[in-house]
Amino acid sequence: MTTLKVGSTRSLLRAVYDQPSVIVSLATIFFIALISAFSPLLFPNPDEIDASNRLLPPSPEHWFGTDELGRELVARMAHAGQLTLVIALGAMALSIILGVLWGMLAGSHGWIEEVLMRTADAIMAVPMILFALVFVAAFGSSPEVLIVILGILKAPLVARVTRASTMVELASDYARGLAVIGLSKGRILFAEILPNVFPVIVAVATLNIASAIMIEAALSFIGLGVQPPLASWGTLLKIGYSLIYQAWWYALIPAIAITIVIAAFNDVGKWLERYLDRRVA
Amino acid sequence: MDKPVLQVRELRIGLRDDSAVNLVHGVNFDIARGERVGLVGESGSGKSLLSLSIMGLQPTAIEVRSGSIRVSDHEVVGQNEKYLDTLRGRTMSMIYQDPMSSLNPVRSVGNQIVEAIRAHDSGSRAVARRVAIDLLGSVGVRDPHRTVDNYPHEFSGGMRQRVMIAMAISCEPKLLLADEPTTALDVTTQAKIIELLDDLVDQRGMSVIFVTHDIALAASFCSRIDVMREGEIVETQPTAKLVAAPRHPYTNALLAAICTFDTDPNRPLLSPIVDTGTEGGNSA
Amino acid sequence: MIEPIVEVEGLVKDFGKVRAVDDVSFSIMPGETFGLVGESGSGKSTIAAMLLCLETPTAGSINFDGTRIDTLSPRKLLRYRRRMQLVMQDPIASLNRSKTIEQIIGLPLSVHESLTGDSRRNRVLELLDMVALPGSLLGRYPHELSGGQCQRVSIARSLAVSPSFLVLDEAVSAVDVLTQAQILNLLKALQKEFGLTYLFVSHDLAVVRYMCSRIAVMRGGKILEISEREQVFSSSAHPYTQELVAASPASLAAAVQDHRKEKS
Repeated sequence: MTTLKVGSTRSLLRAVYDQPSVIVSLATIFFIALISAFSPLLFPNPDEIDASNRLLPPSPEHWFGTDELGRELVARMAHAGQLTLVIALGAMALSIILGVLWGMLAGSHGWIEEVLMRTADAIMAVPMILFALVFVAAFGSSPEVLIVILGILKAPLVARVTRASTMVELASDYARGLAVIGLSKGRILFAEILPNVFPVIVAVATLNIASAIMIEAALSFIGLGVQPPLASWGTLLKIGYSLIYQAWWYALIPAIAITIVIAAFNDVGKWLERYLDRRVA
Repeated sequence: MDKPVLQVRELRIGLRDDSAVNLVHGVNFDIARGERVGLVGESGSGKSLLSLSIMGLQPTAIEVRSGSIRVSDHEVVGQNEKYLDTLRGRTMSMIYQDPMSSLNPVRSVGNQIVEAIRAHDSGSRAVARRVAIDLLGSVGVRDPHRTVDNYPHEFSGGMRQRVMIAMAISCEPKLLLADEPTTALDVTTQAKIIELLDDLVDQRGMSVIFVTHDIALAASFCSRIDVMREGEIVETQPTAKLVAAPRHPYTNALLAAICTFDTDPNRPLLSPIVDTGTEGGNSA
Repeated sequence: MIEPIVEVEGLVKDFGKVRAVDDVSFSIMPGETFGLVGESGSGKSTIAAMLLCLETPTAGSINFDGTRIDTLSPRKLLRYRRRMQLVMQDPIASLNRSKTIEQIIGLPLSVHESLTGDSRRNRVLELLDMVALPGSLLGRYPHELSGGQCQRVSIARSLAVSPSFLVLDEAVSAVDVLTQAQILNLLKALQKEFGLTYLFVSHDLAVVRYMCSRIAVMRGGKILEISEREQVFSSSAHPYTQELVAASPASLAAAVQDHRKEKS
């Protein structure tokens, strides 16, 4: 059979051509990340109270309007965005570190596999809110704890994907060759197999960010997540919801922001899945 | 004089996304009725692409740039799927290296052969089923009345290949394309399948294109051999002449390189002087 | 008396209820190329796997250079691993696609000789030279090379720590004829230069005849005969062996030519 050596740039462009929305999504993410990261510079005083300007609707002077204490909502959104993204990224990182170790061990050691994977199933079976509730009740709800909760919630999914991929790689010819060379099992796993497993994980990780944002927003919305004086988009949504009849924009803007960012990460995640799948195939 | 069963003229095939990459460069050849032609070449020579393009089954990343392919005087290039479907099975048919990829694992083999028959023949299911059973018998499947309802995985590799052959000849095509049909089989099974093809092709007066990298295998089955290299046919001769007195240095190199039971174990295999050319511009 | 380098006694391997290898015994002498022939399911690949300690025998023993290796602890086995290496059938799949050629060939060097950096690179270049590959391939990845080149990389890697015994498991079955010829020539040259012993596992009898001086023919997990080359390809060979020879494409071609001549 003829093998075609398609340049990797060409296959990249083709993949983008097949799903052009990924450019919009990446731009959106980049834009929001940039604003959030530079929020202290762009909006230096988010907590500047201005009692005479309470609950003003969006206008050229107040882009997102003002909140119940007269603070600029645009400034609050930018700063809150930073916290939202940091928590989501932290959770994603934790889920990868835990999940990869978990999955690689399960995929390579028959005896431990059952234990590890049943634990993964158990965690995935518990409703997220319940899980969070228990954790928060025990450890409080600082951003660090939230990162741990979300990381643990998402790790089983990473573990499953990693395990499957690890098993496929271990069954391949080159893995046999490595055993004959005399490489230790650990070295085979982490130095040789892991780089081949990683592409699959990147896609899952991106999708994890999206769901971490959503869960954090949900938790904050019901009061279990980020607590004042800290603010995430979820908490802003919560406050906005309570004021929805006086200030329709206060709930709408965080809601739109959350939706857009989740959609963007999902889009990129799905594109990565398809692109990487194509390269491996 | 009979019109040739297959007429290929100035066929150029390349990558759809990149007009600079050409995989087949202006190939010309004819196949007469009942003729068996071996299309021999190494990987990357374009032989598989050529046979797939004749069936109109080239991968989506590949396109026929120019030229003509006439099967039984029907033009294939540039036709839509619907038209090609009327040709496939009835006028030309194909068997592959891996029978599992052309047999549906969740349907019985009888069902699949019947489906193939009824695609071109509006007879009743019962009649088609009887034809299917006969076909299975004629390709050497044991106890066809019972095994016609078996699933592909219930057959051994050699048997699956026979089933695939049965399916391919069910509508009495005039041209049969065989793309490495025995490469994945054991030597003894391979010999039996070749024997089967030999009988079937003679009985039904089919023309065959036998695509393979194994020139000895092609020599055992084909009356004429076309040698392909990097998208071109570099030599075409009747088998006996080609094996005894090859004209092109590449053919010479191929013949010199194969191990036969007369090869001297004490001498190196290739003459180092011959420029063999190699895949992708890098030496093997 | 020269001792065999590999000695296999009463080897048995069961996979559940299936007996893949049934009481197999043979020995391989240093410097020879020993052929292991059979069709699929004959057990030849399983034997190769057991010799390399990738599978544990259900029964029987494997001796390498006088020492029993099938019962060694992983740590002790490591010392023997550098003396026996493997070249597999699929050239590209047998190399790690995310590693460069330098990393691939250099890996055994870092495992067994703790070589790094420049000294490792120099040794890798030497090895590439041994298999007639250019040094420019160091930074490339397997998918950028042809099948033949990948197989040479595999050979170079297997020679990295100077083994004495090489298992060639259908090593030329998945490459084109011209490449096959070049690799077989290379293997013979390397054997002469380094005094290597080969176990040549294959289903292609003509190639086995070219490479091997002694050949074992297997079917259904058992060895049917072990003979010198001349014997195996003569009419005094085991009937099954003769069947295999007759079914080979090389024989088929000759038979059909004769048949056609008779017909016409």
